Amino acid sequence: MARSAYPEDLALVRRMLAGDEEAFEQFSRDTFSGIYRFALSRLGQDEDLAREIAQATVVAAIESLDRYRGDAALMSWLCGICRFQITGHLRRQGRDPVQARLEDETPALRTALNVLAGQEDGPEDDLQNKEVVRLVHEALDHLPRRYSDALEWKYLEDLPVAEIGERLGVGMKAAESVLSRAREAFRKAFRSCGLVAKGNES
Amino acid sequence: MSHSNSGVDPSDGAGQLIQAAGPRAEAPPDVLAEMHLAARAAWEVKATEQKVLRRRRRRWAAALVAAASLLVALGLASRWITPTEPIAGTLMAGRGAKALGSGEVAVGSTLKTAAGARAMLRLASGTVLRLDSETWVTPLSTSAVRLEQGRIYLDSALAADAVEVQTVWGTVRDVGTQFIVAVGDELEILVRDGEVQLEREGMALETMVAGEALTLRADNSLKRRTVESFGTAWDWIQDVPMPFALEGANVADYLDWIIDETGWRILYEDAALAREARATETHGSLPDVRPSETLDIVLPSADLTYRRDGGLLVIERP
Repeated sequence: MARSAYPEDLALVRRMLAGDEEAFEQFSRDTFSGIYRFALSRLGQDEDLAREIAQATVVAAIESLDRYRGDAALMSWLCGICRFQITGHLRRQGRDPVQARLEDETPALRTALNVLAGQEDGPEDDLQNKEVVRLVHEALDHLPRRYSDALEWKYLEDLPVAEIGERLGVGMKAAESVLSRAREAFRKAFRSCGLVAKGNES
Repeated sequence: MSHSNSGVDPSDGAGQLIQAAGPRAEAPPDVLAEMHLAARAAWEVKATEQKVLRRRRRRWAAALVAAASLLVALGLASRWITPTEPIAGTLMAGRGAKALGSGEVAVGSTLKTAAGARAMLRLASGTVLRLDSETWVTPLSTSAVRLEQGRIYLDSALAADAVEVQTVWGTVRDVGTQFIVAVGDELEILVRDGEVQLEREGMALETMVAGEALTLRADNSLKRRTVESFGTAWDWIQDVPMPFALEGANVADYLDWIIDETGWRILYEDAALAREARATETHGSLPDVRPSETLDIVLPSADLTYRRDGGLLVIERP
C-alpha cells in the first residue's frame, strides 16, 4: 500500500470515520476558520454567502470523508471542495464562475514572491498589501496544523525554538527541523496560491 | 502586537511575509457555531454508516475464513486464474457444495453452475452476485459481468462502483441496488431495491425502480409489472446466502441480515424491543440451513418470537 503524503491528516480522518469525538472537534478547530476565510476571499467578502458556502463545504467534505486518501493536505482537499461549492453556486445563479476571481495586484505579489525567494527585502507596504496578506494566510491554512502553528509561534509570537519544541512535544533539534520543513512547505504553498491567483487573471 | 518585518533574517522570506501579514482572523463565532452544528449532524450520520460497513466487512472476513473449506469451483467448465489474469472477484459455494479449488476468479473466466448448484461471486468492487443453477457468467472486470444464460441476483449496496450486466438483450446497469437479471428465451429484470437501467447500444432503453419487473421478449416487446420484494422469485437466493457471523453480533444485526436475504420488512412489537435487540449479543454459529430457517433457532435463544404477515416479519416477546 502506498504511504500517505500527509499521514497525520489521514490519521485524523480515520479517527473521525471511526466515530472519535475528539477527532471531530480537532477537525472543527483546525479547519473551519480556514474554510470560511477561503470562501470569503473568493466571494467578494460577501459574508452571508461565505457562511452558506462554508457550511455546505464541511457537510460535503464529511459526506466524502472516506474518499480522502492523504495525497494532499486535508486543508487543500477541503479548499478543493469549497471551490467546487462556489463554482456550483455561481452556476446555479447563472453567473460566470470567473466573476468570483480575486482582484489580483500583481506588482505586490511579485514583490512577495521575490521576498520569499530571498531576492529582495520587500517594502512594508507591498508585504502588507491586502492580496499578499490573504495569500499568506491562505498558504498557512493549507499547511498541516503542526507547521502553521510552529510558523506563527515563531514569527508572530516570537517564541524561542525551545518553547516551540515544548509546545510540539519534541526536542529543540526536532523543533528546528519542523520549522525548516514548515518554511519550505509555506514557500511551496504560497507560490501555489500565488500561481492560482495569477492564473485567474487570464 | 506589531508585525513589522524587523527582527527576521532578511534571507528568511517566509518569516518576513508571515510577520508582515499578521495573525489570521478567526471566523465569527456564530459562523463557526453554525458550521459545527451542520458538520456534526453530517459526521454522526457518516460515522454510523462507517460502523455498519465495518461490521459487514468483519462479517465477510469472518465468514470467508470460516467458509474456506467451502470455496469451490463449481465443476463443469469453470476456468481458474493464471498468474497473468487480473482477479475479478472471489467465488463461494452455495449450501452443501463441496470444496474443489481456489476461490479467486479471473477476469474472462466462465463460471457455470450445474443443475441444483448455486454460488456466490463477490466482485472486487464490492458487488455480490448469487448465481442460480444452470447459469453461465463471465466476469469482464471487477464491476461488470456477462450473463450468457440463467439467473443472477445482484446486491451492490456496498459496492464502490456501479455494476453492469451485459446480456444479448442489452446491458443492465444498477444505481445502488438489489436486483435479478435472468436470461433465457427472454430477458427478465426484477428490482428489489434501488434503481436499474436497461441499455442497448449505449442508449438507455428502460429504467426500473424497486418493486418493478420488466420482461423483454425476442420480438422486442416489453412488459412491465409490479413485483414483491420477497416470495417465489427471490427464494432461491437463500440457497447461497451472504455469510453471517453470529458470534459477537447482536439480534438486530442478525435480523438485518435476515431482511437482506429474504426481502421482508421488519416490525418490532415496540420501540423498547428494538433497543433490546440492538443490545442483545448473539453467540454460536448458524447451521447450514436457509437464513429464514434460522429464525426458529436464534430468536428463542434471545427470548424472542416472531410471526410473518405477508412480507412483514413481526418480532415479539413470547
